[in-house]
Amino acid sequence: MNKINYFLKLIISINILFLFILNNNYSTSDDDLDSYRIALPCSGCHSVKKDSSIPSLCGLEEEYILSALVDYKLGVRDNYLMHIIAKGYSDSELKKLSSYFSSTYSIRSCK
Amino acid sequence: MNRRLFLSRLLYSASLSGLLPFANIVSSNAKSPGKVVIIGGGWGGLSAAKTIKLLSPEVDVLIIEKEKVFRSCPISNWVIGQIKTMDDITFSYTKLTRIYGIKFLHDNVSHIDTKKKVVVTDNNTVNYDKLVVSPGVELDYSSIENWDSSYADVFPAAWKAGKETALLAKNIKNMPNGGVVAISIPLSPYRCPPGPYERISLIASYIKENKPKSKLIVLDANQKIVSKGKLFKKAWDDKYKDIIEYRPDSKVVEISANENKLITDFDDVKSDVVNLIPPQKAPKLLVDAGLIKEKELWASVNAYDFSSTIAKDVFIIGDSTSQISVGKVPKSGYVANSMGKVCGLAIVSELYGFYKLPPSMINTCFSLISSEEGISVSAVYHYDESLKRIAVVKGASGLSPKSSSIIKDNAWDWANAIWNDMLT
Repeated sequence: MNKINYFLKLIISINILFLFILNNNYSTSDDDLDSYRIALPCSGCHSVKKDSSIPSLCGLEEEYILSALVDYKLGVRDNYLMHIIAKGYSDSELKKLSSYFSSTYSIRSCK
Repeated sequence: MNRRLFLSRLLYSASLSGLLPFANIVSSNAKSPGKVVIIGGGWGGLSAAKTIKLLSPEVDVLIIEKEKVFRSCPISNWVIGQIKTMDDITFSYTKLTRIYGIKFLHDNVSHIDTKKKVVVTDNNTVNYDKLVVSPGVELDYSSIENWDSSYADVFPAAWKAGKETALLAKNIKNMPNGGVVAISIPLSPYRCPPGPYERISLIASYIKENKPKSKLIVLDANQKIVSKGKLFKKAWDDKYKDIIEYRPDSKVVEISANENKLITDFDDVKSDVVNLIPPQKAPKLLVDAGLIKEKELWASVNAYDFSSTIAKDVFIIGDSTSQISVGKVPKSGYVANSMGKVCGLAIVSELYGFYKLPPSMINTCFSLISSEEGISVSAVYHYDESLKRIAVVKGASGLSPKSSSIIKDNAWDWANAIWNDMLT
């Protein structure tokens, strides 16, 4: 029982630490809100699991995600589905999505 | 909650979404700004609940759902096609309570009073500040002569995942080699536009492998295949020419239960296994609550946030919304999931008096054309200011160019991703 309590406390501390880091490392703005809004439906396909045939976005650099999305949009990079999805966003929205996923997932432990 | 905290929560919740179960630690002492009641623990309701709780753990969220477990409609065709089991599409709701503090009331909703802001169930009365109605569809047999509700055992619709899915899967499995399957498709709009055609493909695929003397007769009330027509047609021509007999413009108007017969204006079809998918509409509960306009079948909403055009503080999402009011989005699971997120964000904004963001939605529907290959249709949607409706972003919609085994793998991994997105 004590062990469980200790474990819980530890987890809560880590969690609060995360919050602390988050609140200090990121300044929030309307751009963040917009990024969140457009990123929400992406998790319908992209999970944090590594063993999926749909790539996880975990641990990917912003530049990598952005160049992939832009290439899908231009039709330079081939995927039967992403070349449709990427056309749904302006270049600035693609930039926001790339920044969002690279920063969001950088602090997550990917499965 | 001030604006700065709200914005920082966005990042916080995003970083923890679906991964770490500690969202509600943020402010367990904070006063709740209101109580949200959600009718329906399906694709729309769960997404709305989780979006709200991730952003705002102090909001009280209660889901009223009569089923004790979640059964997925997407992938249920795979059960009928004998490549997955009911266990593969059945999930517990308990993580949502444990991780996010979302409460569940497993009860049948008998009445909604939008003036008193009360939901009455068989055993309870629940007050709300904001109500989300995400009840799915009601099967409407009123246009089919001789129908009796007891016939669901003979003519399962299997259009809501559950015991009828299991029954149809069993009937297909037990059918003799040489047996005939009949499937009827209602006029569009109905839940999951490509669903009937995926089902037909999977049953044909099973027949081809296991019961090659059998046949599949399709009575489609529509003039042609409703969704992904070109791709389904090619698959049927290539693979199932001797198995599938497709009859467009064939609306079932009558049945004969003791003869296992479906009757259209033109002919009678007698078969060993029947799958009668009836027309659909928004549930009677919504009509009784005054949430449906007279002579309409679906609920009218404001496409910006899915609030009801009729009652204040009521949001309606998912299959029961009218496409006339929403815009041309399909009645799919992915769309319901997207709508739930938009509506969840809108409710949090309302509760805290923040600016409501415009909707951004995605749809992808995967369908199998055999036990080995899949096809897909996708689109990205935004809010069109001039139409005041949800519309496809120009150029951002289309089909997979052909069928492939990769799409089948993607379909299964999509299902797992979106189940996790809603349930964990």
